[in-house]
Amino acid sequence: MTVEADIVPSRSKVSAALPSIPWLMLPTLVFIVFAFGWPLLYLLRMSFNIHPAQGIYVEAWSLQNYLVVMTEPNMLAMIGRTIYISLVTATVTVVAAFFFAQFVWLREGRNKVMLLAIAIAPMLISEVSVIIGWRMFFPSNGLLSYALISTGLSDQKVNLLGTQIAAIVGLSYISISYCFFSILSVLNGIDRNLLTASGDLGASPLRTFFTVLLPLSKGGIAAAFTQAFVFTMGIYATTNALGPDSLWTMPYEIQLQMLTRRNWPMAAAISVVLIAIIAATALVAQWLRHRKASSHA
Amino acid sequence: MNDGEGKTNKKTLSRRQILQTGSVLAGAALLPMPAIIGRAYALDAKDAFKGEELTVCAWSGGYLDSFKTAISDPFNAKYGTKVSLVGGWDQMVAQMKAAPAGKPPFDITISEEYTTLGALAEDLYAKTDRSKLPQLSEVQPFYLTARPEAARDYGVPLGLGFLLPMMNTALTTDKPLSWSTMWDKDLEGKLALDAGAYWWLIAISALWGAKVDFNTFYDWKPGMASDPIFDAVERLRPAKYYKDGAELSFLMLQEQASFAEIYSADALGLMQNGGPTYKTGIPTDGTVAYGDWYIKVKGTQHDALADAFLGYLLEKETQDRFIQVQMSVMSRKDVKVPTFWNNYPVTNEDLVKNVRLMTMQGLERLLPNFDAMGERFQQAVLKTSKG
Repeated sequence: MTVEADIVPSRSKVSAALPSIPWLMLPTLVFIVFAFGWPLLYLLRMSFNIHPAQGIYVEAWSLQNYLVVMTEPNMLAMIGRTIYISLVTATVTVVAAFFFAQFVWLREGRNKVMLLAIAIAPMLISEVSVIIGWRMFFPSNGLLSYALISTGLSDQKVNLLGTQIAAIVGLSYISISYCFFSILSVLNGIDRNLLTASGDLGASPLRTFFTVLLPLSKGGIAAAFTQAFVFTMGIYATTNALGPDSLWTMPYEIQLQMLTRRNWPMAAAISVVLIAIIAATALVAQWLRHRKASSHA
Repeated sequence: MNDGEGKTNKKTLSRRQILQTGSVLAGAALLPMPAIIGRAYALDAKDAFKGEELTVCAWSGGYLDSFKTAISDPFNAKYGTKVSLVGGWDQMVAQMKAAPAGKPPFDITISEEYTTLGALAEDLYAKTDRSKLPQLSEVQPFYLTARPEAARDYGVPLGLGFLLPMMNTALTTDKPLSWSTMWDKDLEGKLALDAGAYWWLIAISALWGAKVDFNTFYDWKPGMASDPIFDAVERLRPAKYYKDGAELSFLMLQEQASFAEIYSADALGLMQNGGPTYKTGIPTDGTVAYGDWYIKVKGTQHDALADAFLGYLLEKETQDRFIQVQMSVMSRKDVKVPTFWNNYPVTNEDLVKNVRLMTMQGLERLLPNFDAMGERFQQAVLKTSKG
């Protein structure tokens, strides 16, 4: 049995400790079916319709939209771009969130409370406010540029607005709190004495990190990565407002098709593909997590 | 008691007096009836609208603020109504289409030619009885003649919106206010261009960059052996492609661009914020325009009030007030043009000469290749943008 299995009680033990009242979940189930299932079915149905030049849609059963999404070079490039930016953002976010969470986990008392408050802060700000804030920070007349010049790190104004860096920072900022708490919740379940024991047995801090802490927290890391990836895949405004002109992602294309071109069937087909990619990513992440867990058993 | 005396002092009502009083009372009671049942020129019975609500959708941003100050607030003050405003543009048709029957999201909506074409194709608009709008006789003929016969019964024109060149002379040497200036070498890396409604930039590129006519623009097709329009687009070197008016204001005020293509709805606000070094107006070589029509939405529950509001949009006082706070060209012939307006088209001949309206007939020809044009535009952005 692994260390992880010792720490986390099995699902059957948890179930046995709770009263089994299946009908209590009925309202939630009904809500999910109506609030999510019904629109999702409508979206799926819409994706098979066709778009006339002047109107919005004509009812049909056509695979044409999917054919365009899966074969047109523009569309494939857009899907690739969305996955790439999401993977980079998720990686950057998880790394930053992990080290921050680890730092907080090892603190006690008032300092810990203050750090937790800082971690919550991005969750309290709306996406629009975040965008405005970064747009004040990144341009050549922004805070970053002035800071670099006044500290002598740069002799001329620096503009990072409209770059991939700005987009990734903005996207990371939106999901970092969620990632932080996912990781922290797993770290809180780890016995800190294991780290001390590792050190006592002669392991270097780096080895302790890679062989003890990282394997024990991989559940939280996987959850945080999935969360950041899913968030980034679906965000439109931040990418659009902070990124470069050519950062056309799937959410951007969906709004373009839906509103500007009034091609609802195409917007629906892209949305279905987006949902499929997100679902597949979540499933793969879960599968990798369980596969590794079972291989350690 | 003296019967004779009593008879002389007592006021009696003759049959004639009774009939007269009765007909006056009946007439007074009947006066607002035509408006209530929605068959008369509604302003004759303004009391009938007291407290009634009307939702009007207009261009969002600075235009909406101007519309409120100059049009909807005075209308409410005059008629005791509750006209509320919502901002919109490309989502309007989708909102109307998605709304349940008989419950449209707005009663009246602004509509340029592209929106009108889409909304009419989906049967989302209601006709307006033009015989109830005598103010239409004061409207420049240009507005109606530029519209296809089948669309003329829908709504009224408040005026025209434009795509205008805007220059910040504090950041660049003063150059002629002309679209051709966009291709000037000095402005490389200093342009702010619209990528949201990309077809407007393509139209400008066709007329002033490629120097071809509007028909060439309307009949553009993908994969043409010779494509002077996109050759012109790809000779442009923007600082940034913006997606909306707010982003454009940011780019100009942050001094990231010194020359922009700007919609008239945003122009005056930006000029006022930017200061005296900001210069705009209709270039002497002309510009591309869209009609600011206001049209009743099918299923409105406030039909008579909507008609009254449409009539109010055509009043001289209304248009005189609006042009003081918006860089629009008004539909009436007799508006008082403010001094900030550079090269205002006063006569119908000026409109015909200087304004290239993107017509519904032209857009009908363009729409089958609209998606392909968008994809071709993305290739042009990849070639010309900094990132």
